[in-house]
Amino acid sequence: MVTAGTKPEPVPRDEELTVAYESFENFYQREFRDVVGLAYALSGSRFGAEDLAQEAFIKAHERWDRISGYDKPGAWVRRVVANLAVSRFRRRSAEKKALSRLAGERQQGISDLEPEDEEFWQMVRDLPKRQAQATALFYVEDRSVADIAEILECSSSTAKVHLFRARQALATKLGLEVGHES
Amino acid sequence: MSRDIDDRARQAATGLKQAVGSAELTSKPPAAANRSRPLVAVLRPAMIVALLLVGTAVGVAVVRDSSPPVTTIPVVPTTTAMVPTTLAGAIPNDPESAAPTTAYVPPEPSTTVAVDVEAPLLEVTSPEDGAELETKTVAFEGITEPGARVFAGRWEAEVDSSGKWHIVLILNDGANVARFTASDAAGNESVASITVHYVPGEKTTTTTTVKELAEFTAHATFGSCSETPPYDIYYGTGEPGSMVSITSEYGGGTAEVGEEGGWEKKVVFETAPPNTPFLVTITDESGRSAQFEFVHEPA
Repeated sequence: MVTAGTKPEPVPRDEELTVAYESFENFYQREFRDVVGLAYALSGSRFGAEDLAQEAFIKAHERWDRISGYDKPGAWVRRVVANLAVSRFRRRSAEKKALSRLAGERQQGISDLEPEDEEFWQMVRDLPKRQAQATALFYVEDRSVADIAEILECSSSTAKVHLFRARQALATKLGLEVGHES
Repeated sequence: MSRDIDDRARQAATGLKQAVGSAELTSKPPAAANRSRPLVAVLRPAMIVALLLVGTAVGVAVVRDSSPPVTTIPVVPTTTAMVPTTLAGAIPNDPESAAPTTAYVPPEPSTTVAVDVEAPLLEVTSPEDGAELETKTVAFEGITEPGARVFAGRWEAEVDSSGKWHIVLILNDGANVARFTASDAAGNESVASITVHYVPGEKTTTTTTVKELAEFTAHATFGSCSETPPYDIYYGTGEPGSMVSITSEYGGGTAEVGEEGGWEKKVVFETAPPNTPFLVTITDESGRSAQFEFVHEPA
């Protein structure tokens, strides 16, 4: 047994000795709900969003020993879910899986959005995919342009252009002014 | 005053977050069966043990090898200082205190404040220092001051209300130093470390003539892509040093399985037609294979 009780002093934190990777469970608990939100915004499927997020986390889980060493594992899982969620093919498959799983169960999943909000996110989903992804990351996840660029694997200026064009298109459709953000 | 698109978007985002935030999500962290790497295979049982101990998820960190031996940290006596915050004495305008200035007025208990300069207790109760362990994943347990936080590197241990803590660490082969720090609310810190040795159990020495191949697994990262040209990233496990081939009507490639048994390959499907799913086949040298569907969905 080792006992220690010392006066306060700087504690040496030798990274060579301890540490290193966050547990997948911690990562999952912290990020899952946010990633479901992103999947919901981009897929519009309140049944399939959770399954899309789960699919992305399963992929992260399968190679967690590699991904956990990344600076931002959260960016990786968002990149996957952003790609899955804008795919009609993947969305249909996730929705079908979720519906068959939920059949006969009485779980309270994601509730319907207010009609006004539903209409807004439908307009987002009608945008070109990159613009929709940038918009969801910016507004749902409060991500910076730099973060969006990292997640979408593009330059910051490209991410900024996606975001600008998306906001311009949405403002035109909704008869609103383009704001000053981003 | 007219609204702009940002107000509208933020309102819609709030509605969406509320819908998700209040949902009863049913998904659980992916199960052990989904893990394909050796590291993962040993992780789950320990997590289960840890869950049984505390009833909640635990942090997992990796303890790297360290060559220098660790010496036991000696116990150093600690002190608690009582610091008066006001001076006891005559109070102006108080008739009863209008006594000679040399009069002694005993200090009142309420005029003192305890300043915690005592480093929190930190004990590692299990495993024992110097222990030789055959399991790679180990639950470290100990005791600290109730309310204190315990860390292994940057990973925080679970501490219950009585001060009992635990954290699961993954060992490397040979000697491993596990260093823990405890910090209390006043910022005092204690350090404790132990060395444990991971000694893998003896392998069975049956004289098999046929070598058992490492598990072959294959996964697709996206399954679809809106980029042009479209691509996917395939990955999995296989026999170290062997080759894995990826083929499809519209593109393919090969990947070498690394020493640790993992492989990964980005495959670009240059000529994939839009919105038409097709099959991608992944095969290893011994003929084991897996198939995935891929579709190019242009933005």
